[in-house]
Parts: sequence; structure tokens; C-alpha cells
Amino acid sequence: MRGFAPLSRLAAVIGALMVIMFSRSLSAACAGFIAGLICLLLNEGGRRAIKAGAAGLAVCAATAIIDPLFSHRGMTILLFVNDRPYTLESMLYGLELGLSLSGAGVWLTVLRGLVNEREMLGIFGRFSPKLAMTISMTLGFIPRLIRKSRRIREAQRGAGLFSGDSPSGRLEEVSAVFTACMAWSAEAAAGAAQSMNARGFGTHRVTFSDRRTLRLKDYLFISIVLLLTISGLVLSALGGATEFFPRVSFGRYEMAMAAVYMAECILPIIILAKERLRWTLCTARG
Amino acid sequence: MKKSLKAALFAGCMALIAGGCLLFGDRSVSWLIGSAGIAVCGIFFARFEKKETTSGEIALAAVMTALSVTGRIIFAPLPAFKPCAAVIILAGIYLGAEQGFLVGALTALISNFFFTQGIWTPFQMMIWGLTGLLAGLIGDRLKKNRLMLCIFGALAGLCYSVFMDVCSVLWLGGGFTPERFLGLTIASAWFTVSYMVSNCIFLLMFVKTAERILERLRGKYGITKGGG
Repeated sequence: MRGFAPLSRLAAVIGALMVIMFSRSLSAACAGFIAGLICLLLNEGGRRAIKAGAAGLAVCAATAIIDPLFSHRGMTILLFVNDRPYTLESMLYGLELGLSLSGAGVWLTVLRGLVNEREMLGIFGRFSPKLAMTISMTLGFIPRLIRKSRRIREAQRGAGLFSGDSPSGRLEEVSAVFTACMAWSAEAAAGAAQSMNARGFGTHRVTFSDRRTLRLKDYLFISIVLLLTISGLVLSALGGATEFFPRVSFGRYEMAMAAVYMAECILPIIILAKERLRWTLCTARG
Repeated sequence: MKKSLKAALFAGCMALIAGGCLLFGDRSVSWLIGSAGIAVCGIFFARFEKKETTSGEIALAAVMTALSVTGRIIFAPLPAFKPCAAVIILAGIYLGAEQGFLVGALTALISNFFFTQGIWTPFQMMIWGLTGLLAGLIGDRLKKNRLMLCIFGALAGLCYSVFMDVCSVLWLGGGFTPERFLGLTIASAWFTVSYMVSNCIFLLMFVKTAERILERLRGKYGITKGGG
């Protein structure tokens, strides 16, 4: 979805997340989970999608098996555990819970691939430039600190310190490295503060600049996503949610809600598939 | 920002939270805790944005956050044994309550970029932020008394684990059920103990170093609480 602004990509994932987490519908949770996996497959390849799918299915199995142990509602008794009923309805409720939780996890993984932390800063920095600057500085310090910690560790090992492989020896080694990093980071902070002062920090308001602007197609895309998300949630509240107890029954508007949600999920899939196809068929990539 | 606009924004946020609670049925509690996390962090971030902040405060908040995140990355092979909370508490004590909150909230947000962002992120931001804030509020007492610092670290680890369990129970839907909470608490007991012990160990290990380094920063460059 590189053709769209980061805000549009974020909106697509947040919209899908909102409905999957709050609709309480078995069909929507299932559709959202599968759509999330397809997006992951198109954006990050098969291995990542299979991994996420397997982890998601494990969560679904766990919640479907464990939930009836705590919740004994429902009419269809499958067996008794400690003289308490283990019901099919609770099992399906657990399955829906697992699907929505793992679906949310899959969509968050999709988000990580679609919007990186710099683009995220670009979105929120507009509203809070000073906070964005702090996060940006932090993101700059982290790789420097990691590199520094590696060099300190190598130097200490080279000097023959902390060669023990016992847990306490390792803890001592890592802590010594961390203490040295703390001293270095304080000096780095002082250096950064002095640089900021030299460049006139504090003489005027912190402002934000981003060369990426929203285009017409972004406005259109965000409006459609917003409309579909609100429609999905309203339909869910009006009777689109699955009724699990005392017996499982689909809500009055559940199919309509699932259709709206599928339309919402299909939007990023179409865009990602188109980009993937264009890349595959591109002859200029050598 | 004009007062009327602020009032309208506040009313809009409240309406959104209330609307979500009405719409989402048995998931309304999840919506409420997610909104609470975002609201608490939002209020602090808005304050940070508005107030006069020196370059030293910003640079120190950034490096302390980076240090905390790096600690989480370096100690990744040891599950639940991380110096993050200790760094956040030290930031609260030596940089002040608001900076402590900022370091705590940003640690959760940024470290989850490297691990996994999840539905727990706003709640984690709020808990670590409040840990830093509280450490800052009683910082003078914690500086003087090592035993109290140790107890504070252990309690911070306990509260973090228990509140994350509460958050997990609420996210599982159907409201708060004592059976589920007990099950989760027992399952995560090892992690709770590990958080408590690691906080004590790291606080005792780093408090002297942090004090020496930050005092030196004040003496040499004039930066720490409120300095330039």
C-alpha cells in the first residue's frame, strides 16, 4: 500500500481492528482473521503468514478448550468436568474470543509491515511535535546504545573480565555493560542538549514538517474505511452480534454486518494484490 | 487553544467513550480500559507538549527511554528479568514525576515496536507511566532509604503483573471473573516474582551509579530537573 499515505494505511488497519475486537460476531471474527492472514501473505510472504496463522489457531484452540472450564452457561452439555457442565456454547464463545484476539494480533503484525515507526511519527508528530521530537531522539539513541553495549562487552571480554558462563556471571557481565551504557548515555544526553541549545532550541515553538501530504485518493480511502467501520459497529450493536447463550444463534443483521466488514477487509487486500502483481510482472526490476 | 474548543474536545472524547460502552455490550469493559489508558497518557502528553521544557529535560528523557528500551532488548534472553522498571523508577526519582511518567509511557510504546504492539500497549504505557510518576512523587524519600526503594521496586513489579492480569481478564470478555483472574495470576506467578526480584536487584545495582552520573551532569552541564 505504498501508493497511499501512512495515515490511510493506519486507518485501514485500525478500522479492521475495531470491528474484529468489538463486534462479538463469530462470522466477522473468522472473516477478519482470514483477511488479516491474506494481507500478511501479500505483504510479508508465505512463511510469516503461516507462522501467524499457526500461532493464531493455537490461541483459538486454547481459548475454545479453556473457556468452558470457567464459563458453564449454555444448553448443549458435551461432558462434565468436576461435576460442572462443559458446554458447546461456551466452547464457541471461546473460539470467537480466540479468533478476535488472534485476528487482532495478525492485523497488528500487518500494521508493523505497512507503517514503520518513522511514518507513525509522521502521523502523530503533526499533533504533538515536541513528543515526536523526543521519540525521534529516542529512536536515534537506541541503535547507538546497542552498538555501544556490544563494543563495551567485547572490550571487557577481551580484557579477560566476566568469562564465566554461569547465570550469576552472565548477570554480572550484562549489568556491568549496562552501567557503562548508563554513563555513556548521560554524556550523550548532555551533548544532545548542548547541540539543541546551539541550534536555538527554546527561542521559538517546536513545529512539525512532513513532505507527505494527503491526496484525493487518501481522503477517499479514509472516508470509505471510516464509513464501513462505523456501519459495521452500528450493525453489530443493532443485532449483528452472535448470540451464544443459551443457544448459539446468528444475530438479525449478522450477515449484513459480516458483508460490510468483508468489504472493509477486501480493500487493503485488493490494493496489496495489485501492487504485488505489478511488482511480479514488472520487467524493469532485472 | 480556546477554552470552548477544549471543552468541545473533552465532551467529544467523553461521548466517544460512553458511546463505545453502550455499543460494545460485554466488550464495553475492554473498550473502557483501553480508553482509560489512552486518556491518561494523552493528558500527560498534552501537558508535556504545552509546558516550557528545556533541551536538557528532553535529551535526558530521550536517553533514559532509550536506555530502558535497550535494557529490555539486551536482557531479552532472560524472560521477565529486565531493568526497564528500575530505569523508569530512577528516571522518576532523579528527573521528576512528569519526566518519570514520560519515560515509562514511552518505554512501553517504543519497546513494543521492537517486540510486539498489542491491545495491551495503552494499558502497559499507563502502568509504567504511573510507576515513574509515583517514584517521582516520593522520590526524596526513596533516595534516602534503600530499603524503601527496594520495597517500592518490588511493589511496582507486583502491581505491573497484577494489573496486566486484570487487563487480560477484562480483554477476554464477559467482565471480571474471579476464577479467570485467579487462574491467570497462578499461571503468571513465576513472572510476578521475577519482576519483583529483578526490580529490587537492578534498583540496588544502579541507584548509586545513576545518582553519581546525574549529579555529575548537574555539576558539569547544569542539566537535570529544570536545568538548561
